[in-house]
Amino acid sequence: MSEMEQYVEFGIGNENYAIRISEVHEIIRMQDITEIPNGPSYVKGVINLRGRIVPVIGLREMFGLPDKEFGKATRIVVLNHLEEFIGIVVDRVNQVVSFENTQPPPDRIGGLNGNLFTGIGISSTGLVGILKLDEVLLRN
Amino acid sequence: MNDLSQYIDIYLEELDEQLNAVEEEMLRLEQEGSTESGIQRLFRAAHTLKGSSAAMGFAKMNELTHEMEHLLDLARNGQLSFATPMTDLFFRCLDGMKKLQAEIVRSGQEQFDIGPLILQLREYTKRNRPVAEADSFDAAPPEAWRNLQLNAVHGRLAVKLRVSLADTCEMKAVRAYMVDVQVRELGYVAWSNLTDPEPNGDDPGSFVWLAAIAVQADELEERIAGMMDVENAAVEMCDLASVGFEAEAHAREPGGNGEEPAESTSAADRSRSQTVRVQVDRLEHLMNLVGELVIDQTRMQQLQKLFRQQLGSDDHVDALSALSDHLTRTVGELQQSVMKVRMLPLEHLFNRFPRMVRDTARTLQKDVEFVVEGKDAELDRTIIEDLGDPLTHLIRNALDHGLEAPVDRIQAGKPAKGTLRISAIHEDNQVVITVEDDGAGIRAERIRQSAVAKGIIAAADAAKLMDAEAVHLIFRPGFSTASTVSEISGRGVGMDIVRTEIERLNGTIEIDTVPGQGTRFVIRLPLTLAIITGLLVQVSEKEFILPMSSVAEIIRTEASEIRTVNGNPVVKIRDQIVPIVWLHDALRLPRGEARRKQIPLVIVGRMEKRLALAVDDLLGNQEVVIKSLGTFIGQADGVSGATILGNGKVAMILDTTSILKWVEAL
Repeated sequence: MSEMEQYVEFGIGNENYAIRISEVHEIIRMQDITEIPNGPSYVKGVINLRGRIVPVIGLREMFGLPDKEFGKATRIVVLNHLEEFIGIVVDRVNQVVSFENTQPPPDRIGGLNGNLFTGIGISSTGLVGILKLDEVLLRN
Repeated sequence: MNDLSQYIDIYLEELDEQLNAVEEEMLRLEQEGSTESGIQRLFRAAHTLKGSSAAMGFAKMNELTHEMEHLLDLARNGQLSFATPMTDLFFRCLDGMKKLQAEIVRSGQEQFDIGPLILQLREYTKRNRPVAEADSFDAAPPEAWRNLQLNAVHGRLAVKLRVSLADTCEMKAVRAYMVDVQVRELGYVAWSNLTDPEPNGDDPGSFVWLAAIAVQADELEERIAGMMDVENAAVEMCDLASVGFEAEAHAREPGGNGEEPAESTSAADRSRSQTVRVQVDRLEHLMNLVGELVIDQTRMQQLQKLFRQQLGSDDHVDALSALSDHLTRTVGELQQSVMKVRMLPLEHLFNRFPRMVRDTARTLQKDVEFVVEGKDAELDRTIIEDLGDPLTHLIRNALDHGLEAPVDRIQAGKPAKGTLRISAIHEDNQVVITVEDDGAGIRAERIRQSAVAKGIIAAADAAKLMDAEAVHLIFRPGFSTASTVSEISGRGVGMDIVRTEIERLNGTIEIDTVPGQGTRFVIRLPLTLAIITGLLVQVSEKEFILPMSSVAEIIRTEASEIRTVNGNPVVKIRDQIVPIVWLHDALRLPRGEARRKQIPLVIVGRMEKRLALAVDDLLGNQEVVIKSLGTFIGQADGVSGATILGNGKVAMILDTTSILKWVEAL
């Protein structure tokens, strides 16, 4: 079952990550983000997604990477999390993949806590960290 | 049951309606004393519920209402008096019925044990039935007492006579009539509850007389007791001194509303047939769609203006203008209509209070007349839901701290019974709710001292406040005037919570108080939460919305007009010194270079605490649809929500209350 599951693979810096495709609502180009004064630091702001207010978070900030100028490849992956849309800004979206087999995550992956991941998969781009959304989006 | 399931909604609606009617009637009975028409209405409500509960198969509700009906039947025939113990018992029954109602709504199963209530009802009947109690005389009109008084002269004795007839007696009314003849032979009859014979022979078994007799009391008792079928006769001397009071108490009775109950039922039937039940989420969806339309229409208006600027007068532009205007009007009306659908009369909320006031007043041993006005004013249902807690708190406060104990009131030269009034009226686009008592009022000096003692304000600052301003200190966090924490209003919920709740609903609250005369809280609320009029402002290249409801005025000032007091910038507006805060600072945005000579200032805040918010530019006001930031973001300080502007951009709606708090904290 899980072997055949499809994932959206994207990159931040030199690393590649994946999210189950069923959790992704859509992928859009970078938008004007309206900042929220005094909002939580991991929230970049909100966007107008066809009349809906959708919060956008920066995975770079969340993963402790330095902020980066938006480039042509920058995308917002809109996730469907607990019946709410949440956008995450990523450097690039690579492909849709399924993993032949996955390995349990080590304690730490590139400076990140291992429990943010459900496992490690291998794709054409190399090693991919499969994100556990509930953990990643855990408030604070 | 399965065939009946389609009727459950109708049953529940009726149940709700009747329970409200019973509660209202009970409170009226307690306030104004029992009246025939009141007991009649209670009887009818119990009777209706008994029937429909049986039809729906709710056995417990059926049994309980049956017992209540029985007791009420006796009461309306004058065989039982509807006195305080019975009122209390009936309130307990009402609570029981409400529990059953909640269970029926939740699971369709009646769980609540009505056994004790049934027992108490039967016990009450048994204890009070055999001989009509003294209170049967309550039914005597004031004239009767007066006539008795006039005739109890020349050695004639004023007496109360109670007679109960044997159960075996066939024609009770006829027998009672013969007793009446006998009494009249011995003296003057001022009043009797003797009634015309019932056609079905179901006459009550006991009767009372008020009479001035020319013989001794025991002689009368003997004579009557010796008559056929008379089981018991009791004569009691009448205390005419207390009669004066009693007569007065009853003088009010005839004034009671003699509304024709049959008429009101049919009116309710009529209105019911013209309503449709709609799921709330369908309404929410409709409201969202209208919100989208409002945004589009705003955008269209802007485009139309733009075209006019660029193209000047042109047939197509004119046509577009006409279209845009028409659309604006239509969307406006649509918005109004949808808003109306979401509105509920305040009745739903206000009906909760009489019972609460009664219970609270009893606990506090205060005597209060509770007046409710303007129940039919309408508000958005979400506002009504959120208004319950703050209003409950204000009412409890008024009962606890506002109204004095009866002794103190008399000493102060006021009537022993206090008045607590809650009212609602429609005013423009607002609903104004007032909670008013005629109690002790709030003494500004005490508030000042208390606030200083609690470290809420510096003594020097407190002294500078005018009385009306000082009173508003009770809204500050950490303030509570009661020296002891009472069960009623001291549960850690202060007035600051009340104000926060009201302001969250985009409303305002003000106090008006006169020491010794009373206190009035005035709450102003918008009709709806979904759409507000907002002032669009620009702050360091970004656009923000300030709700117009919190904007007191807008001025422009020369940079040279700004002075400093203790290093803080201030501006003088009509003799009032108002501190200036750059909105940039509150929002942690760079101030940038001042591009204009004149600085736009938006004055916000309340009487005792005004603030001038300096912005870069004013972009006019417009209708905005409030959207929540969602649970993922949660609360952001100073922001109450977001909206989508005509150009598709998202703008934050600022919450001036928390900006004020932020400034206070500096």
